[in-house]
Amino acid sequence: MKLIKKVSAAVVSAALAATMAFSVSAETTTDDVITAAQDNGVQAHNVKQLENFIFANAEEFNDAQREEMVKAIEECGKIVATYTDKTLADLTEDERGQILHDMSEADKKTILDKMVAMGEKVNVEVTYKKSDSNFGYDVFATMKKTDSKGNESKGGTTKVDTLPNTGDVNSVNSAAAVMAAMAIMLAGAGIVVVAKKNKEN
Amino acid sequence: MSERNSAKAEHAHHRKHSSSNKVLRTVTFVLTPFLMLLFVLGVFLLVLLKPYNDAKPYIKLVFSNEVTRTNGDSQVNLYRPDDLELNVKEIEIEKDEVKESHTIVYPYYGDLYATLNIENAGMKDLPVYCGCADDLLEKGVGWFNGSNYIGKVGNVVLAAHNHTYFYLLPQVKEGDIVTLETSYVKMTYIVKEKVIYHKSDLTYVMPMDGTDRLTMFTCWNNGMLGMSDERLGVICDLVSREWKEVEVPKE
Repeated sequence: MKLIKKVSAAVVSAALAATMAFSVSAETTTDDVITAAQDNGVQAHNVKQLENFIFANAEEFNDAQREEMVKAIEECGKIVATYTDKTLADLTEDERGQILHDMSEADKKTILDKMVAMGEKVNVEVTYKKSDSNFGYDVFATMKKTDSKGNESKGGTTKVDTLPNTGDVNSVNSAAAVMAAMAIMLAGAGIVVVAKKNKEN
Repeated sequence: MSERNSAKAEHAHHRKHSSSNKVLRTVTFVLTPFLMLLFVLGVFLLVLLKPYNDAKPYIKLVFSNEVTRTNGDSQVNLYRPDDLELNVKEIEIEKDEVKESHTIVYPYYGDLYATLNIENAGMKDLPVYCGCADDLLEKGVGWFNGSNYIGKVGNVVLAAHNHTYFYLLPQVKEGDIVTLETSYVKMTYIVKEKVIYHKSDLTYVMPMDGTDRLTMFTCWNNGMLGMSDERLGVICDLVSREWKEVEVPKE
């Protein structure tokens, strides 16, 4: 009898422990998403942007959606891993930035498309367009909201900022320079021709 | 006969040659000065092009009235619908192992977020927008959204153009008081140091969670206006954080 009780208690305890373990692993917090980004080679600024976005819209995301975010980040991490022999979590900021800079167009598009797909699962509209940033693309995220009646609306659009250039553009006007050079050449050629003609006569 | 014919031919040739000389002389007298003028103008244009480009930001500054204008209600935020409710949240701030609850109003991207003052440098009531997109930096200082929200513990990073809203940033000195005020908190900082660094050096603009700091940066072109790969950074330490009463909307 005592043995049966002991075995029963052990079985119940194991079942309870298994249930609790399942409950703990099912809960994906914002910190989990942030940690996933840090551990998969994302630059500190982008991690902070992700954190800021999630905290500002905390009530919009449930555990399942945060889990989707983690999965998408890990998939992107596999692409980043092909550019380095180091563990992604051990990459320095410079190395993370360099990988982004060196990444092929195809891989960049793959990562962006994964973000778009992830966004669809978490009610965020992710869009992107070509730019002259380090990554080569500007990325935008718009929170989508659905009210109790099922009406959809859009929240604000957040641009994933890069550190901006903060001086007035002073690039040389190339059209003016070309025109000036052509004027000099034509005038010089004309003077030479006229002088030659005068000399012949 | 042949002598007469050859004399005639010679005379005709001489007449023809004489008239073409006249045409050539006319063309020479008209065309040559024009060609010389064109040549000289071309050289001037090439020589003055770079100085003009260097002077352009200063010309814009003289004829622009936007450096200190405060952008008020007239600003339309293109990044969000007008009827969005304020995003007000209760947050927990942990500082020196002490936790406090406060109310924060998370700005939407493109919102007028804060006002910046550095009185000793003549920088008064500068508008600070949420974000650093080009259109936002045209109308104010930008809060870099890869840094900490104003009020939270960490590095808050602001950026602006050196020919507009951060034109006077080089005048800031160590010890100057800086205030950054939003609808929910007023932060007071003291300037700790000024640094010149290359844009690829991210040391000064890292989020730095746990370290209260304000970092303001702009392009540094050896004291001149215009684009540069160098940055002037003004690093400030926190003096005080004054939270304001904000009404939290009922759910």
